[in-house]
Amino acid sequence: MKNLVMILGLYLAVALQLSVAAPFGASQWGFDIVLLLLIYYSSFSSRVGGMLWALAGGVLLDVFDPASMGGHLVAKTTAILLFGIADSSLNLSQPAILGAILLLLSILDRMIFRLFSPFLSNYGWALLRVDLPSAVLTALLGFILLYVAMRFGAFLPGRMQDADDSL
Amino acid sequence: MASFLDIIKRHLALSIWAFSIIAGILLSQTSIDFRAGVSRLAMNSLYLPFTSFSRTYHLLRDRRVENLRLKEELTTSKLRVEALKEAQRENERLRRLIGFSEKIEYSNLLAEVIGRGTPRMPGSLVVGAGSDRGVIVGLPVIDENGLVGKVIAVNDRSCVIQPLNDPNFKISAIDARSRINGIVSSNSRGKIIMENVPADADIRRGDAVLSSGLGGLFPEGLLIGRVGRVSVPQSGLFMTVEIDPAALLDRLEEVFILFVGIAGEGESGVEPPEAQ
Repeated sequence: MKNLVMILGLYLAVALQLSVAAPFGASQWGFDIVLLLLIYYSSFSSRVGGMLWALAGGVLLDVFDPASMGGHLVAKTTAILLFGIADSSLNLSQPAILGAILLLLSILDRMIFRLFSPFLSNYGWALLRVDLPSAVLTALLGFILLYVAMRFGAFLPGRMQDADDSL
Repeated sequence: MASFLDIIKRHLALSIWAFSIIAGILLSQTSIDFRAGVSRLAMNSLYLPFTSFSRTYHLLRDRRVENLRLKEELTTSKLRVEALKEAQRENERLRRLIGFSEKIEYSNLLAEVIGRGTPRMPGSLVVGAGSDRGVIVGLPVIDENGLVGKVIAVNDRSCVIQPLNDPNFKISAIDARSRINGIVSSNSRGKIIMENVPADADIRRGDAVLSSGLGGLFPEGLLIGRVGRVSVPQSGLFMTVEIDPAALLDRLEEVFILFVGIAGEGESGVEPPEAQ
């Protein structure tokens, strides 16, 4: 049942990311809803479970992005792997730490994804003008959602079920 | 081989990550036709339920942006229309003033009121014409309706006007109908009154009150105002005559400074310098 909900959630998140949260205006800034969903899900699943969903989410995004295919896959799995490490070693219930981790993961996700872009000559420019603002927006949205979820007990960092796996 | 599988099992998360890197690199190396085909397939199957929603959403978002742009344009246009209306009003007023200026028999200078009140004279007017345009102290000032006051101080580019309703302003006046003389000044309540009018004088409400030309400062025949309330005291030698000023003293925007002779120089006038 949990997996079915996650499949549906991932599917809806991808659809939302391609429509409502698609990069807007000339700035091309946008939110990464899939990344936020994966982070949220990883917080109460096993590390392997989180990585598998990150794999699925990355592939799902990649099939809609033929120009940078493979980029989302690597970016999402890397971000979730690092979130797992952060979740087990840092106190993410501290708002400042949570915000910082979200920002770092969002930036890292965009940096890795940009490496797969066919326009690598514009890497620095795109990173500064598009990816950094998008990462900040994503981190901000994620912080608000996860903080609210944490207040209501729906996000409990530091409880990742890693008994079945170790790095 | 067995130990390799053990390592993978023991570090499953890392293995998935390593796999994703390899898969990602391989996917990025596939031909663009393959990737476009996969993407088309995904759009026509997985994303199909959202196509209509997405199209409507983007349409609405574009409309909203366009709407905002149009609102912005509308606001700018409204402001521009208001500015044009104001310019038109100013144009009409200046045309009227130019027409009036040609009718004045004295040399005159049209000047803009640039301020009201000075620290020493709260009721005064500051006008944007000074000694650079030939203005000197004592010149009479009128608007298109009648007498406004006189110049009492001059700077290089501006001058100060003492208006008719200033308590220190006095002018020799005459009732146009009955030819009764008097002194027009302002009382402590700010009312303009005609003093020294005998109690039995024939003064009626609505009579025009003109400058008499006595004293030489103001030329004869400038309209000061019209008789308002007339009160005859039961005892005493003089009646009280209130004057409604002809000039719109509280709404002045432009005034005419008349270059007429100062005391003793006659009505022929002082010609303004050519600089004006």
